[in-house]
Amino acid sequence: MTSGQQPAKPTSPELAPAQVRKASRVPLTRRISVRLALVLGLSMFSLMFLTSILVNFADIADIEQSDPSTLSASTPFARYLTDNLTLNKNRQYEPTDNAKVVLETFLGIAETYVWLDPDDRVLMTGTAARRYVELGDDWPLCSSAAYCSVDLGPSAPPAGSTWTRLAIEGRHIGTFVLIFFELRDANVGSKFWGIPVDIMLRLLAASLIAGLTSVLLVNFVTRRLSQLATDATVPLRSQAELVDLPGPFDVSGGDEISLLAIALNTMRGRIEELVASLAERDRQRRDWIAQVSHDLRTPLTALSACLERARDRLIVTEQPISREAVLEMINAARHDRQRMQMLVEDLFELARLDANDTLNLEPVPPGELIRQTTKGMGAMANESGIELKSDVGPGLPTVRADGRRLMRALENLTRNAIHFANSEVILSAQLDGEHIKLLVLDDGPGFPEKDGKVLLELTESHPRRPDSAGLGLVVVRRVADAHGGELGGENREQGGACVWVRIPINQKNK
Amino acid sequence: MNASTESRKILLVEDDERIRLEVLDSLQAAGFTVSVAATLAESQEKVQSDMDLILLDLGLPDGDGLDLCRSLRASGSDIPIILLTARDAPEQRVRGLDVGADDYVVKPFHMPELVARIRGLFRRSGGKSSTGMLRTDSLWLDPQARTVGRDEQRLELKPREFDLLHFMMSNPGRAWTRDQLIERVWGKSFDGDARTVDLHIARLRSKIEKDPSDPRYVETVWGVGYRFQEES
Repeated sequence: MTSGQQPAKPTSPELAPAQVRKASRVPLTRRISVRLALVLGLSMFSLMFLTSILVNFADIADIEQSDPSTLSASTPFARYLTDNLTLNKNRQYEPTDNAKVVLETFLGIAETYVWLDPDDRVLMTGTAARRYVELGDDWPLCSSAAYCSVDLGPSAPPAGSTWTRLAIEGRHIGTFVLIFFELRDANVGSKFWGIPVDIMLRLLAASLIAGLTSVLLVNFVTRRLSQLATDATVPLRSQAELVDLPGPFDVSGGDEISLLAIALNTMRGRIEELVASLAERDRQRRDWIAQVSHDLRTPLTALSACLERARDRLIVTEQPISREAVLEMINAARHDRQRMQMLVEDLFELARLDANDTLNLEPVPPGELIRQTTKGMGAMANESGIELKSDVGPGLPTVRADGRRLMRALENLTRNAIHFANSEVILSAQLDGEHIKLLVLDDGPGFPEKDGKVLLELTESHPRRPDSAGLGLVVVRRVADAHGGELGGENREQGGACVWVRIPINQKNK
Repeated sequence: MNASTESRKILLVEDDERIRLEVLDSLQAAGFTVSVAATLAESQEKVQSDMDLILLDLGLPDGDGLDLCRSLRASGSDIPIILLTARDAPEQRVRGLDVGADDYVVKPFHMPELVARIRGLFRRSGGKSSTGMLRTDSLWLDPQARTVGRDEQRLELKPREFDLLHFMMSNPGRAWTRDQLIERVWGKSFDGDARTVDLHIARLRSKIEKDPSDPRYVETVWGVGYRFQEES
């Protein structure tokens, strides 16, 4: 059946390499279109070929029905012939004139007969058969063993014709051959590569039709696929932070290809979100870097001014410098150093949180957290003349959290509070439903309000702290977020600010 | 502080020249004999001579300071080691303690704090359980009788809780990682994880602390492990 695969070949150029860049890399044998065409072509071909063979078999079955044994002298037909034979002048039997008319009429013009004498020589033919016989001794039907056997023995029943031997009183008197008209076509019996030409023709026709139809069908089905591929590989057009993604894709059709298109559209949406969030993060980070470099420059400037002043006082100025003056300058320098250190540490913390550093979860007793923070910030509060107190009720449940980061967040809040407080800062922890609330309270001026909401974050119009980019608060917010908690704040009724971090007691492992 | 402080020899391993000079100056001012090394190779050479303590910076130009720590402990040396680590890297501290460092200070550090840590380390025995009666504030522990109490009140501890408290009370002020506690208290063959330690600490606190949500005796060293509160 080598011819059966032929229709597959013409389908291969369907995904024209020029049109589909990605698809062109798919090897021919792996392409869906090629496989589809193969399957479709093969099945159509087999179907058609089988049908034609079945029809043929019906024909052949017809012929074989006239088996010699059934057309023996005992059949009515043979009996009739036997009864209507006459001896001609050569003393040979032939049908009587009457019988000839009956045969012509009975068998019709479509079929014909040949009468052979006992030596298998043509004695007489029907009108239609005559032209073959008249071609000479070489009776064309007899040139093909398949159609006529010279001895016409029962072992070689001629296909396409049927014959019967007639005998009178046991003596063979001749053979009556019926030739079916359709087998008299000029190429009947000829063969090509051992396959009968008519079968060959059916093969060819079946292949052709199957091939063509499958190419068309497959092309119809896969055109939308290759269209999708083409659409999806359109080069990205990006301007600044906006990326113009290919699509959205056509989702009509309601079939698997439209499912694919829907999936592509979903993916496209996610990519758009991702790009937008990345762009937002990028923008935030640029802002931070700008603010941080400014924030670093401020204490740096103060520090160098302080050092220069000290040097000038010692070298340039003649008057002796007092112990108090030196101490004052050193303390100023220490203060600047501390501000820079905080900034650098906040930056480190942000960088780590940005890198999606996992939380180092451990049991955190809230009381211990508050006490350690109070202890750690005590020196700073003292220097600023602020009283730092803690107010934690007993029996608070232990939280599973990143203790180091929580303490860092509390330190940042406390540092801010100490900066603004008039006289005292209170650290507290409370149970709040399924959460623990860590609070930092001060008695300072409180937060600026806008439309009834406090502004925690620093903005251009509300710079709460002139020397800071609010990096500390950003760290607090990020730590709270990382714990699945939140940062909030309000102004206290008795004056002053209250900032809190609220984190769930049962931390989900992240 | 004992009188022999002056004779203590410290090896300072630090590659940054400014920090090295400042620390050298302060340590000498505090009465220690100091030799310095800027590279791992140099420190490996100098540690052969008789040293009483090593101050070890981790990021060295020719290798990881922890390698020195590891090789010293592997060779059986129990010389006290203090790590100089960056603030934002708690896991570095844990690793350092796990490979055998005794303590760490966080950069940028205050010199008085460093000197205090060095003196504290010289004072402490270093990772062994003592057999004498132990007492911190009102909490007492009798290793012979295996009893624990607060003031007049006896506290009932499970054997493992007692071992844990005994070990930590014997080494006050020193931070232990969870892995170290497992190794020292449960034994090397114990197949437990950090949460086993957290669980036992929580139970221990619920028995010995007045308010377990604000523990005073067993303190958490965030991101590192636990420490028994040093007598103040």
